Amino acid sequence: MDDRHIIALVGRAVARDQAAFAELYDVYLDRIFRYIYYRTVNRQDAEDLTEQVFLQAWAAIERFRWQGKPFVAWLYAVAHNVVIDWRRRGVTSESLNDGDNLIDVESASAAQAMSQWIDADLLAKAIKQLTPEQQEVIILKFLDGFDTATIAHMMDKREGTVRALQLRALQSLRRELERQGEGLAA
Amino acid sequence: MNRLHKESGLAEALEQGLAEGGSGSVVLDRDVADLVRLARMLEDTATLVVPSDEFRARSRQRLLMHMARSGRQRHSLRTSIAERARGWVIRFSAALAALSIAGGAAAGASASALPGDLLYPLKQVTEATVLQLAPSDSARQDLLLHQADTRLDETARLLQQGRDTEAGVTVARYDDTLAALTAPANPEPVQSQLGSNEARLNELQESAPPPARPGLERALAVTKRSLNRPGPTPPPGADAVAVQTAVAPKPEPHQSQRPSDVADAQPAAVGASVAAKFGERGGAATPEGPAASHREDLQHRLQPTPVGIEPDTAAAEGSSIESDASPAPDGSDPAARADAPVVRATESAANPRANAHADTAQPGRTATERSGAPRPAPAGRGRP
Repeated sequence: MDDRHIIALVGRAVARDQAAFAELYDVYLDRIFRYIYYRTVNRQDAEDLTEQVFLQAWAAIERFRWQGKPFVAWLYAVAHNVVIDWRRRGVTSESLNDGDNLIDVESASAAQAMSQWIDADLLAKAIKQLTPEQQEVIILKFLDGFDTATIAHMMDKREGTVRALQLRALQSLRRELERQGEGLAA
Repeated sequence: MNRLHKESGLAEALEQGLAEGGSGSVVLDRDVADLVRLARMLEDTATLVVPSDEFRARSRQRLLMHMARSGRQRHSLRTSIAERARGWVIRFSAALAALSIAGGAAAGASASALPGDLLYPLKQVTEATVLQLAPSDSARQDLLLHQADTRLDETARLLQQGRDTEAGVTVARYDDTLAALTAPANPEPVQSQLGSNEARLNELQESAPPPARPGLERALAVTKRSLNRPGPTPPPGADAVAVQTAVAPKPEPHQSQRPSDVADAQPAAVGASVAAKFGERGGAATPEGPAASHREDLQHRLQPTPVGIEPDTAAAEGSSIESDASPAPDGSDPAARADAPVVRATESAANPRANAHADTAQPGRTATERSGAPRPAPAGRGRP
């Protein structure tokens, strides 16, 4: 469960307090962006969809009710729906080749950033190939840092099931990266 | 089974290796160690996956603007709903007014209803609603004159049918209507109409049976008084108190000296309870005196009631309305009478407030919700 400050902010936001919701935006922006990025593998799309998530969350915040889960779980549910809608519209685009993520490589720091982004991008592409449940576990565990018990609660699963999912997700991810590496080598 | 057992062991080992954080205190299977490294790589790259500062600032600004705008839209939505409801009530009332004023057979069954008829309460609430929503004093004056004329029509028809007691009740309501014509906005048509009424009452009085005459005498006196003419000497049996009842506040409707009271003696308790139910304040004197008290009383009675029965009428005309609830001649249960539910259904349908409420029941949902914005699934459910 969230700390008292977050709970208070959520309470005010549910009562349509704009300042409180803006503060929640500051707290959760990175996590929602990351959650979406690993599903879209495109920085520009991730930014657009992240903004949509918060707009829709504001529209629906009055219906939010605590269910013993972190507030971010509700935001993830909104994000999940936004991504699903986005996929249905068929506007997905590839990341490295579409120019969206181009970084000026003239400077060393920019080159390093690009290298890191390529790593992140490759990982995101590999994650995208996992099953939805495996993606969920990978994002919640390794990108968001939730412990297994919390993830089990958020996903309505037993901890043993989450541990098994976690194992299979990492195994699948490794295979996918190997496949990508073979493709690049070829 | 064996494979599942092995996978479970690997999952446990991975969990342990992740918890160790690669400290090396636990000797890991090579495969598990690879997975732990992969997990660390994921964690490391995650910190890089953040939106640009430019997006962070602009998106926040757009969100703030959106929230402010949606707040204003919600306010205007609420306002427009209220305006729409008010407009709906006015249109509904105008339609009812058209029905009532047209008075034709096709204009609605209630327009020709007489006291004691099932649809008479509907007619009463229609008149009260229309009067309350009159856009000007002049319009209100016209409506009151028309309603007074309607009462005389009803009285004449009741007398023709031999319903003398109900005719007495109705002509008393004519008195009440005239009493509401205080300080007419346009005296000329009032004088003209009252002159016609006077002639008509004289005609009715000549042909009316003796039981109905005191009420007609009283109405004539009130009409003459409204014409600033001295009224006739109250007839025997219609004493000064009765005359005053027509133009001044009455203590309690069921305590008045109207002819209907004789007939109402049996259902008086029911009438009193109905009056209490509708918040009947009776004729309690006000600091401003009897006239003000009367106006207040009349205004109160002209308020559309939730069930479509004028409180005053419910009490004063017990002979008509309570007749539906009074024991049947054959002693059968009044609730089982076929006509009783009809009255209630009609009253409900005629209640403009109830209908207005139904019209605005929907706005519980916000504009955003209605726009079809995807609803977030319950947290932790419906996920990939």
